[in-house]
Amino acid sequence: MQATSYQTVDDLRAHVGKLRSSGEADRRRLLCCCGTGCIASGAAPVAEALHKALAELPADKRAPLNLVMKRTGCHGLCQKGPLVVLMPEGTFYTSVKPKDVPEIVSRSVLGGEVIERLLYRDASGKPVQKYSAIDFYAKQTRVAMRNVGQIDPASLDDYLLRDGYQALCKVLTTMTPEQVMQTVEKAKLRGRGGGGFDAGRKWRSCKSAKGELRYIICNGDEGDPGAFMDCSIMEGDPHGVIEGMIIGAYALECHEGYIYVRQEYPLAVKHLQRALGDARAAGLLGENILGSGFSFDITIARGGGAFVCGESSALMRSVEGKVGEPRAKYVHATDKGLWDRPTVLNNVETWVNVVRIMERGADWFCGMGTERSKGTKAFSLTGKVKHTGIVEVEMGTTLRQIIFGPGGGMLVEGEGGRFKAVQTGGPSGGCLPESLLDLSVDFDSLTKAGSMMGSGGMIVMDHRTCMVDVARYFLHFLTDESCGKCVPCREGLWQLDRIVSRICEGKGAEADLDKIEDLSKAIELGSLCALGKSGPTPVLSTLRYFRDEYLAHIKDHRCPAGVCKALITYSIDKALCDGCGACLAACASSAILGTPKKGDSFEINTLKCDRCGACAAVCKRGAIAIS
Amino acid sequence: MSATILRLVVKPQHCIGCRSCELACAFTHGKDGQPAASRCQTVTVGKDEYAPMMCLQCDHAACVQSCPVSAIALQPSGIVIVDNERCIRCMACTIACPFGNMHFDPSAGLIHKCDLCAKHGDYPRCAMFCPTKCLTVDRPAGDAGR
Amino acid sequence: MSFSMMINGKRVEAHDGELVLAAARRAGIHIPTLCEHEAVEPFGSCRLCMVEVTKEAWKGWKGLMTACLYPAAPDLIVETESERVLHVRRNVLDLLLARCPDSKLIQRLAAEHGVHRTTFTPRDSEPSRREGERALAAPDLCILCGLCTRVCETAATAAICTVKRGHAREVGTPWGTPPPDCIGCLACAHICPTGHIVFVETGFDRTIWERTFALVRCKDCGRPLPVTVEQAAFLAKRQQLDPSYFERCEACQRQSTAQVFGRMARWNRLGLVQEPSAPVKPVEVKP
Repeated sequence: MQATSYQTVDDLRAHVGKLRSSGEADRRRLLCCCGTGCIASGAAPVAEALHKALAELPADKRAPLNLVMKRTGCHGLCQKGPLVVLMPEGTFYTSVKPKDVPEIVSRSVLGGEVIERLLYRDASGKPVQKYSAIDFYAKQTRVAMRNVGQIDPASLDDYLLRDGYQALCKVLTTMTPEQVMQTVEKAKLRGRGGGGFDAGRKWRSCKSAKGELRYIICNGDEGDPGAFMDCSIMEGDPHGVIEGMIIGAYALECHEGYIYVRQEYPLAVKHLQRALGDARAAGLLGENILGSGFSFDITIARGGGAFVCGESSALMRSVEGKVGEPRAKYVHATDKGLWDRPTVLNNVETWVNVVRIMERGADWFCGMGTERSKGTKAFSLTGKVKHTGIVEVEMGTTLRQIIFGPGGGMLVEGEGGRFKAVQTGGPSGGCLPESLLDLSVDFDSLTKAGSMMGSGGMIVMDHRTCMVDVARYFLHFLTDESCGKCVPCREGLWQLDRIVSRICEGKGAEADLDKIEDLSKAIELGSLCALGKSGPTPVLSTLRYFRDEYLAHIKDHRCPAGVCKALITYSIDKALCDGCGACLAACASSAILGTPKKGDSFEINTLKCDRCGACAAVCKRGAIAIS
Repeated sequence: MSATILRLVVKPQHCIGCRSCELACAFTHGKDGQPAASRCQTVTVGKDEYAPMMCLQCDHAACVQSCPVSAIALQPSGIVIVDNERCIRCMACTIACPFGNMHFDPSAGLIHKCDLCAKHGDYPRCAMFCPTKCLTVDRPAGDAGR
Repeated sequence: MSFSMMINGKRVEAHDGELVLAAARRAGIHIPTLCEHEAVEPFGSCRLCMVEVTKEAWKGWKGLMTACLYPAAPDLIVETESERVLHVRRNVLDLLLARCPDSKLIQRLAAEHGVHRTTFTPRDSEPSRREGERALAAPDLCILCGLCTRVCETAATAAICTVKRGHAREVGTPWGTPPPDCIGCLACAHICPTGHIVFVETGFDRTIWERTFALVRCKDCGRPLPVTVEQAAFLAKRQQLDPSYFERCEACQRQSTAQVFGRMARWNRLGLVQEPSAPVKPVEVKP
């Protein structure tokens, strides 16, 4: 609960000075990750247990510890959660359960020991003790994600101790709005939400537009399946977003801002609301911010559960209380956006980058990345990699470096888990094959290769992923999420989905491939918004790089990856089967014949078989094969 | 902005009920002179008393006011015109006109009203064919009507 | 502010605030449309009026825009039948033909663009519905142009609107029930290009969207007027006209006015000087 209101910049700086000299920053910290990912793995009871155990320590044991426990945001290595980290030692525990808590408290917290069985293990199986030694973290450049996982998002002091609001202080006292604008332009910051449009240019055209009233919006819709970077920033570093928006509002001389959070992120909303409340109470938001004369406040708007509302004009309609439908983009939002007034909309990650740029300067920012893609980018790395989670790297890092560096490489080593493709950019992006692993990850290179950066989703696939099925999955997603206003997207994507689904069912024809290309061109040219325009990209990119897989489905009625249900059969190798009956118990379709008896062997009735794969998953003898 | 170019002057005291005006209008605006196409209707008001009725091109027209999509407007020429591309066939104008001079043609699906033959050379045919000079044309800018 | 632009190689005059479609029409150049109507704001949903636009300053870059929404601009160069435009149009009509194979309008338009049979999967005849929801209009002919909902919003009570998303999107009413705000004006039915919206007129009442509306009866002769009771009340309020303007039929209005004229004629024949008596009650005009 924020008690003090800082009337001037000096007040705030004095407070930060006091905090620093108080030794607050030097206390030992027990960080328990409470991001949505770890909560899903059971972090809440762990945090509760830790809190209780520490509170129950007798005073004479607790005081000398000088320890504070923090429920933080997402640490990024979501694969290994729940995560508990002890700082400054850097001891990094993974997959922690409530029953491990007493041991952690007695041995690590009190005894200063390291519990080996809880440590993270590297590729060779060796335990790694320190946070900083883990490849996943060592190979990242955490700029936008700098604070996430290190602070308690509910604590303004935590944020202040990590240079929070220092950029704002600098801006309010030593820079004019024009100077801030020029700094962002100089930094060549490109939007991190998917479009990659130059933020400085966007701000400039909004400022030049006619009208007294302007708005800024933070796009926290993050609709791409598999993307959760913005989620972790909003949950774990809400003040970072807020500070970025205040700076942006100052540059644009606007007084009202909105953060649009998708319906499915209640924790982000909760943390943002609390941070907004604390910021207001501290004099960092609202009238006369820190005595500067500049007034600005932020309202949270919640989505209703529609991917299309991540599109900027649809988002604005949604904030206005209307149905989220895009409108023609000839009139730019910077001229007529929210309520037909000049509006700047930027992504969560973009706003946080604004803070960093103002802190360290445009030149510093330009020092990272490539010629036309400056800075860093956070990616949600998922799929068949060892370390699924959030990875932030400099632009220009190659796909190989990301997947095999912090990504830790393929989930299954060797031929059994060979790399096949990586999908970037979500439903608007494409699949890139092994031959392109050394592609530089930046806006233009990805687009040229037939994919796109998108908001940062990166899905790694191996030989057990069917590329036709991947195309079908994204098409199905898009037909579900299409607003339905325009014909090419509503009807066209639906028809594309039908064609590709038929191919997956073994009912395709070679002429279908030409049809796909013909229709895709019409959809790309004719759709009203980017959802439709980029909708055919997954199909087109998989057709470009994996055409023979499509042909196998069509001509040979075969799914090489063994995924498409209509084209595969499950069978039991009698030589390997030991009659244990585990498969019989697992089968929900009663498709397995045989009685559990050692020496007896089982058979699968292919007519009843659902191809769910449950039997293969439980068979300890590896006797079940897909053909 | 052009001023009023012409007005139709009606002197009902001279009307003999011959309905030449109706016929002229029907042949000008309709196919084969079907009576429903006429924008002019001669009404019998008593024994040997008649009055030809057509749009009065009101300065503050009720039809203009009643149209929910603003498809009707008084032009600078002084004529009230219906934009049939804009009309949504709600029929409000046909009822609102206090003089009953707005008609809906169901076969064409269009609203029609007297427009002083604006699409036919600004020469009101009813006046051309009126034998008694009940209907005459007044051109404020130029020659008096025929 | 007037300026010139080029459409299909022809110089066309246009002015500020005009859209390419209007400029083209004035120049006699036909661009097909489905979701466009003068009475409602342009929507840009059918994508049929797509044109290719460029300017010399754009150095060869050409954009595809819908003519109904794209503003005419000085030195704009527009092509209404380029290869890319025709590609989009052909596919749009092919897709619509798959959606509404029975629509005569779509069949004709598609045939004009070389599509005589759809190359896509025809839509299922009955969309999946929530239990208890009734079909309020036969789903066969709706091309989701949005004209009905837009005209209802602009000129009536916004009683209908589109519901659901994507391929399941349809024109509907609150919770699938007969719309409580409908005034029975039939604007939606008249504006529908495919004739999808059905209604029944008995001469005394009207049924549309499963609601029956009584027509106003003329105060003098008792014959039905072509507006419903609810419509008359709505119009009086919205157009700020006294309700008395919607009480008599055309014929009775004409008759009563003719009587006035007849009186004037009589006075004239009797040689009496025509003086206007009490001024005629002026129309309540609110600018």
